[in-house]
Amino acid sequence: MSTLSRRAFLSLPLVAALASCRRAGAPLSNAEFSVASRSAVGLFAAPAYDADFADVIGRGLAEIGIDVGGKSVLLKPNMVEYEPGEAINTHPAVVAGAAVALRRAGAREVRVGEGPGHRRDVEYLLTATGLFDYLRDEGISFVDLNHDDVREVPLASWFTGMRSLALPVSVLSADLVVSMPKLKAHHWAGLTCGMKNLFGTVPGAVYGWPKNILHFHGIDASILDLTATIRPGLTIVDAVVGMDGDGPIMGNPHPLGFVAMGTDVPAVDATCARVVGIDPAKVPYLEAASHFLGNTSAARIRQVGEPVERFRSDFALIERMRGIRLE
Amino acid sequence: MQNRDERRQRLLDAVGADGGWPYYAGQAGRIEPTAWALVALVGIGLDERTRDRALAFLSGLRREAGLLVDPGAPGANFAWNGLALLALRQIPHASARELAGQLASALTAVRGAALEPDHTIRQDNSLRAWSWTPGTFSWVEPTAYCLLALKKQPDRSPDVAARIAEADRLLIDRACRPAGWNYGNGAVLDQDLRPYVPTTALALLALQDRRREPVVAAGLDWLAANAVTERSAMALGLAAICLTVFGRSADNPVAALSASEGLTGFLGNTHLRAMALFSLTLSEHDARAFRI
Repeated sequence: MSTLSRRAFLSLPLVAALASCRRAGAPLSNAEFSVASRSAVGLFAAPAYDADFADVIGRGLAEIGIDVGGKSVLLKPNMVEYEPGEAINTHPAVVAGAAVALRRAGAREVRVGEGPGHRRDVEYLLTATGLFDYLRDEGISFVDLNHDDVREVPLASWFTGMRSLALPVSVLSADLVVSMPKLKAHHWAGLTCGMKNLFGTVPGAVYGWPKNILHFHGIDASILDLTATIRPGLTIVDAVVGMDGDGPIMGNPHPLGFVAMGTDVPAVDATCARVVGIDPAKVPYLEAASHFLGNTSAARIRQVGEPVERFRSDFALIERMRGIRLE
Repeated sequence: MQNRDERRQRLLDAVGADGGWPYYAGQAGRIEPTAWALVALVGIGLDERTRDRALAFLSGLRREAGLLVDPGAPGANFAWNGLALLALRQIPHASARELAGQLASALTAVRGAALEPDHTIRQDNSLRAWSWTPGTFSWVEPTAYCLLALKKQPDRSPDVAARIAEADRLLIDRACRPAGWNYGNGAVLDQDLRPYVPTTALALLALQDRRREPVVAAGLDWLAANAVTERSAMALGLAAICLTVFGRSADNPVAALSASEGLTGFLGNTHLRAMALFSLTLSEHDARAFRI
């Protein structure tokens, strides 16, 4: 475990460059940031959406060694838009499977919460994606994060220059927030995975759609501030079918056949990046995160489940993102 | 399936102890569901006590510059202020008129941030209308609500007229090709963005006095053809309101809305229930709240 002082943090070139674009002063609050010496990330085979995800994710929970006993858990899937046949959203079978697995592992309460960042019509998205039926069948309640009660909280890092954000009470009060992204290329950020998925926790009823305040303050900076503040304790990635090209909405489905899991969200994101041929060190928010939020170096990631090579399949990248390709 | 009186009573029962309506039971009152509840109930009969409590709730949310700010929120959401202005204009009461006057002045004074020219986005970035929140860019929904509310103003000062003219141009500029409206841009990175039912309906309502504009005619045809493709209270309700205002048949979205109520219960969301009540009682009030 290593702990980073703000002075040491600012001596890092990329982070300092990011910070210098923002208001003067250190980009970190007084919150304690520490990075484990090594982080476990699991890749588990799931060839298609008819897999038994409760079993897959249940095995994953055991292998990465997380204790959810007695905890109230909020699952935060990525549900942003609906197009038939497209790979835009976390598949409802994965979400429901995770809920069942966490209940079996002893979680006191499991709820699913999302604040769609693009379309605000959550009733339409829930029914069109099929998530409404899965949740009803499993008796899982849904929290509309766009319209939840909110509380303004200080941000734990200040890359955006913002010092606080109003966040949903359901996110702030959960014992464990689980980021459940769809693995996708992103035309502005390079990759959308566990960290970027947290945009959906920002309440649209306060900030509007598509959470314009985050884009206005910089996507990379916003990803860092949200992750530093919310600190998801577990990430479960739907990489059964990802999206490459012009993601996160208008790209193409890209079959990958696995679920990724881990408690260190930058480590999970970096591992997924390597699987799809993206160099985490070239994704600005991942590189910055490696200095205070988690591990992104392969040498500091303990791989469990299947090796990266088993699922390795390069994403097609749009022209402006070709520089992040893993060499 | 509920009838009209049951829906009305359910909405009345959802009012909070603070006099406003929350999005979901047990939460604090918020501007958007309160405004929609007022719009829906005024159309079919609102009792004085409920009205006065709601007006007191909204008045209590006034912050700097006369704008309303939701409980817990750091600043104003201009879309909900525009919607609140629409609701207040339906209420023949002195305190509603006073609050509406303040809101109209405040909304006339705020505008979306300026954008630099950007070749990756096909639009006129010099145009500015209303953003969701202070200091960000103009988007279709907040522009539509604020524009419609200002167009309903009986007397237009030169400032208001100028804001209306620029917002009209912005909505026309942001239309998708070949028709309808997305949330903001019509295209990004050379990709045309698809239109949606709720945003198209809102943009058309705001442009109902510009029916000869080609994008309005095309958008209306698109909406009529796609009115029931998105099954939700928001999409079906706004489609029904818009088609009614434009003199088109709203039978299909109204029937679909009634049917979808039994499927999802509108997620128990008060503002969706209020939208549905308003849309399912169009024959009683003819969508007066949304007509210029």
